[in-house]
Amino acid sequence: MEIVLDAGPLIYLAKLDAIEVVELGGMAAVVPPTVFAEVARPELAFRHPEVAIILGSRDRRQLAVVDLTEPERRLAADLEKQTGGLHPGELEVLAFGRSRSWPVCVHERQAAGLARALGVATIDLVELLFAGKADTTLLEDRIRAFARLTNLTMNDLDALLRLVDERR
Amino acid sequence: MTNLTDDDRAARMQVTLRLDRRLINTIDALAGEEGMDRTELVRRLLSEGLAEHQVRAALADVAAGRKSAWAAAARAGLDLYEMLDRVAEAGIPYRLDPEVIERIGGGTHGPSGPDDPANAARSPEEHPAIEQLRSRYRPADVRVLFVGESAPAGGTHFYFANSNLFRATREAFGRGLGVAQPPNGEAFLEWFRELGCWLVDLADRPVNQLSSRERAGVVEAGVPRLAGVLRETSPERALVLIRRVAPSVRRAAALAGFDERAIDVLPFPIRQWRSTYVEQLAGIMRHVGAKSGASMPSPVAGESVEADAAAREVAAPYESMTLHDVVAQVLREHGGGWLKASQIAREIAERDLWRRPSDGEHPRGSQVSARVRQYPALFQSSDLGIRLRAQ
Repeated sequence: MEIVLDAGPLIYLAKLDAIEVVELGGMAAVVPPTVFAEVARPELAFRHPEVAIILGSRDRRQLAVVDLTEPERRLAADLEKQTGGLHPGELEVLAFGRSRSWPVCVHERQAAGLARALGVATIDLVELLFAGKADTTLLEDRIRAFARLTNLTMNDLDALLRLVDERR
Repeated sequence: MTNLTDDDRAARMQVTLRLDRRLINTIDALAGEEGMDRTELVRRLLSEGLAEHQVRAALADVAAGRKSAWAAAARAGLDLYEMLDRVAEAGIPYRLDPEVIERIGGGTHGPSGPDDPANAARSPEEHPAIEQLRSRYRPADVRVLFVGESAPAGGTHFYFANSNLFRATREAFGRGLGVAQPPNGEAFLEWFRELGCWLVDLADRPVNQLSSRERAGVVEAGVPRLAGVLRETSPERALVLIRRVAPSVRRAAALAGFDERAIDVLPFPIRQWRSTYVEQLAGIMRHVGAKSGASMPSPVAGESVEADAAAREVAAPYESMTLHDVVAQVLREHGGGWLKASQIAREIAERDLWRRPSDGEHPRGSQVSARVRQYPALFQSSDLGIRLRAQ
């Protein structure tokens, strides 16, 4: 089953060196071209080595760049007229989700709420980490690193760490 | 000193600005230290200040939830990597959706965790009778999982063999599997089980007397449990019995890694939707029966009025193409996404792709829907529309 990744979650997965969790969770990671163009800009690779990790994932077929069909492009354009606050690449993610009934992984809660309102299933990045069947020590390390990268609230971090403990 | 070209001059406009004398003195002192004239320094300060102002405004948008980080980055002229770093540096907190914690917890552990087979469809204490029946009629090998919204509050239920859903399902099984007098009551429930069919509900309590908000919350809370059922039983198909819960079922399927193309969405069989439900489910059971080979009766073509109409069209192709061929062609040309029956009918008419042999007219959306329901192996029907089941 495919899952459409938005640029933010893909960057965080690369920062956590955890892109393989998508595949381990039984899913195939897909991104639209605009997302890939943003996260794999060669000129950024020196400052952000995650660019190289993402390019490597694509070469290892852990990540597929899929073109939108013409109706999907029109849908993304329609969504842009109906919604504000999202980048055109994020609208392409939602268009994929809506058109192909693929779940999407977006970063912000507002984007996830909008996706659900459009009838698109969402899977959070931390759900991917848990679904990736990593050993619990690695899972805990990744959760803590994700919390640092994103300023995750202490309450949410505690709740996630309790879930990791329950898996031990 | 900077030597300006004609192009530089043409690209710039003159602005007259009155500034506080102390500020001008500070600018002049700094310009002297850096070896440039006042104008050039002011130009640079303005440019840098404007960039920083744009970043601050973008961060404020992210913090207030007005824009996504990516949209804000584009506004500020930053790449997303830089913006995510700036968001973290600014100390803007990131909060998880509480449902995410519930889904991870519910999907992996706890007394009602769906990964535990014993708990996969555990019933609420308020409805032990229904849950006992559900357990009793659970097939050893679930082939078709029927997903309802909840047990109704009115005392009827499919597994009590006394509900609208029961009666319409019985009729559909009779038509689809070519059985003129399908068994009734408990005998039908046993047949239903023997065919590998099982009905579960998303919500763990009746929702038809709740407000829409409460109802949505109770249904959504059932998503992890349903994901567990899908993981545990791995049915060939999942049939959603009421359109409004289809997004929740798709979410559960996504969590379970269940193939979304194996999900069909039916209208709940009341009022005008009953015939559609029966026709669609009959088509699906005909396909399930055909896959099972000789153990089930062969499908009988044209048992219903609607099926008769569809069968006539199949037998009398227009320019060698049947209506379902044309529908498949249109869907293929649209990239395999969802299309509404009315959109397909409109395109067939606009491009004059097919006409009814009986009267030479273009098909209506209702005829497209009826034909699609006859070919459940080829088409997937849901609240989102129609699409090809496989590319």
